[in-house]
Amino acid sequence: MTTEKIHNRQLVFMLFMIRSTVTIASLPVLTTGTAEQDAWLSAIVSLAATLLMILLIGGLAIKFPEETVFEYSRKLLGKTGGTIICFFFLWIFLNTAATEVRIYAELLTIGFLPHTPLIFLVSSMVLLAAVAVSLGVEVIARTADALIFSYIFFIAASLLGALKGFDFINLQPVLSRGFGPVFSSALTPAALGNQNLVLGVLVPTLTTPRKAIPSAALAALLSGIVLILSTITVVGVLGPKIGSSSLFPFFLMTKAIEISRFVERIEALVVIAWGLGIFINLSVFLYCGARGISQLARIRDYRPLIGPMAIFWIILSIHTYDDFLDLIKFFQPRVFFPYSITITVLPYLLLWAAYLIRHAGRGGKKYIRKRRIKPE
Amino acid sequence: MLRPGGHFLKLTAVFCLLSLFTTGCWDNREPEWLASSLLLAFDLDEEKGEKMYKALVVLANPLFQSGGESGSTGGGGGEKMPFWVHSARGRTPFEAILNLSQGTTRQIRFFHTQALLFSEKLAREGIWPVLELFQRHRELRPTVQTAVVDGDLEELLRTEFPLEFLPSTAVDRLLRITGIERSIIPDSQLLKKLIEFTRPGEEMILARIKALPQKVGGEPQGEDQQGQQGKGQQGKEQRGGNQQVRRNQQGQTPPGPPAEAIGAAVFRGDKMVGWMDGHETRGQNWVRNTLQRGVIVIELPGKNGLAAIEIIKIWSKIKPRINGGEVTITVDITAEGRLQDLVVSPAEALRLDKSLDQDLEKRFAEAIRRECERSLTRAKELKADIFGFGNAIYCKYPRLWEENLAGRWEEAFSRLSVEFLVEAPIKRWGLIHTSPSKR
Repeated sequence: MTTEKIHNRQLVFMLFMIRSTVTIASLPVLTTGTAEQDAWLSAIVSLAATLLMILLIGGLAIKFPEETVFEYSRKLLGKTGGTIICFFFLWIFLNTAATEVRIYAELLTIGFLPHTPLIFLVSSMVLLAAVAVSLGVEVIARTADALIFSYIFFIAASLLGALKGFDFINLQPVLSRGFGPVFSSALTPAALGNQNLVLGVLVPTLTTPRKAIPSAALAALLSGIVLILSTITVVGVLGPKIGSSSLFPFFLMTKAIEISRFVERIEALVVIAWGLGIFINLSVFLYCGARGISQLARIRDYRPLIGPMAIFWIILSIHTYDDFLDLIKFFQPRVFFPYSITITVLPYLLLWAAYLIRHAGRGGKKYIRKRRIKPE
Repeated sequence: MLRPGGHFLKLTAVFCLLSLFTTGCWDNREPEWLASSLLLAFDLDEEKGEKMYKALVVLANPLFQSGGESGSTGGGGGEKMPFWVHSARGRTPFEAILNLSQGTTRQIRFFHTQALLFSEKLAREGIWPVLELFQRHRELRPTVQTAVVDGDLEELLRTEFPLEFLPSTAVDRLLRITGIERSIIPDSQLLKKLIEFTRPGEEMILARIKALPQKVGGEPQGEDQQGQQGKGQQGKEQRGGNQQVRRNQQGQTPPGPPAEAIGAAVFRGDKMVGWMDGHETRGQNWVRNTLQRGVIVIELPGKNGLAAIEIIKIWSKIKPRINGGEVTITVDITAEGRLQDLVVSPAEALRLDKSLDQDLEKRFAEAIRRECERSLTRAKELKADIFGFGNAIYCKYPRLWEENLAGRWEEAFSRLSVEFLVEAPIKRWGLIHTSPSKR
């Protein structure tokens, strides 16, 4: 087994790109719930929820700094129970990445290349990611290092460009319908915190695993700031009604930007940034999935699995959803939230319970009190 | 498998080379096959009792060669018009713009559409289907300039604008320049209109383009909007004199401007309910803080002359207040003026002293207030809250709005009491502080 190591900084960049890509893709705080002009409050709520999710996932990961979640879950829950839970996680890696590449391909089909077959767009993205994964996690991390600046620049340019059309009235009234709509809009983004499951696989590859939680929290905070700023800008420019009825609010906002008579049509920047984000996203998820399967099946190297997995991925991404309406239905809070909680939080609660019980006899309680890590 | 060096590099090289051969094969569109739409306009038509949308498009003519003015028309391109106006009908706006290709020899692309116009007939029937298309369609974008045409839409598109090659550029610039220089039309960017439409307690207001019939030899039909007595008359005479001179030179009157951007079309929902003139529209711009530049002519205190004050800076805010169960609106307006003209006979040239200064400021503020009042009266007549007073109430008192006003705003608006508090200092006097006198 090769011992590939990535720096914590690289983990921050990777998680930041994974999380922010969702924001610039569909801005779920605005499009899933009913918060409308209060969506920025939902963004804050979902940021808090994401931080909790990181404590839950990363907290357990740093207890086993040498092992991935696929190894220690079988240690904690026994062979059968552990394997079943591992399949849950594998499914999430598979499904999340397939869904995200599908959304990106949908955007390209709707906005730019109406005649290009979906499978061409999806497979070119997935194959690119497959090449990156076969080169190893170090390569993915270094790619994130290289891309992060242009990624941030593109997003910042779009947000700054939008300031001219910003109208503060669009954000009013604040909290006119109480906190109900705010929470309804925060559910899906909070549930999307399950992307942090990659921590379970990436922590053992870190140079300093014990600092995994601060790193992940920093990434969550940064992407949370991007989320809040984007939400405020999109609502301020497009108004809550147009924003929440569009499929890609961020994209529509950049389409409506006219910086001057000659500088307009800057939506390409967003699509490039989105493409970069999707590339990192897919690579990391494909890597985690491949590592998981290889460890479950006790295959020494994960690389031979990448080809078949990529094909599987492409097919799943095309066939899970008939059209965009399916995607919208899938991301509705009453579907996505229970789905994500069931297959992310519940397994982790089980793992935590098993961990606490097993370590209680051996001074585990003291350990927990000292580190102030509370089970959810 | 794929590892750095060895096979990986070879494979990459092969794929890169392969990609060179694929360009121009897949979905290729040569520019020779395309025509760009520069302006879209929609009208309403009837066919067998069914309502049909009529789409008019101004296409840029790629065969047109500019600069061949001095007789030497090189090649066949020189005789071509710079643009072509084409129209088609359909039951929905999209069908109509797709039907355009029936008579077109090139595929129409809409990426470069600069302006969107509506005929009065369609505006009165409802324009939301077209506005929706502009959000949904991937090639159209909500940054275009938009207006309602008062007069013959098709004729307007076919006329030649003296300073522009294309009617689309003409309409685009007309709307932008008039907005900046005179503020007698509302903000005409489509996105702003969409937002106005979606806000509760606010109605859409689109710019009005008045098409002027091109009668050769006739008096120009321009509307004079600075309706102060005396001054308007003077302007007419002035222009008449100019016409005389030009007629003498060429033996034929050159046509006046083919169109003017002045006033606004007021909507209730997506249906137009009436026109507003330039003053009323500027009143609306005062209240909504969208005014950019303009001039106000006021009478001097002794009734012995006029002063023209240019509006430099403006700031306004709508403040709703609850007064004993009733909602009232206060509009704070702060405007900064610059004295540009003092029209007095040289014999009684005025010294600008403190009292005159204050007097002018008072009159300036009064003129602004009157303009706002006029605009409000017209809006109440049309029962359309174009100022967004309802939206201001919704933003400040959302409960009250939902429970009490949302359902009956049209009627409540017509009884709404609005107070305009205007503060209008005149801060600059130009380069002279008083008219130099003979004595």
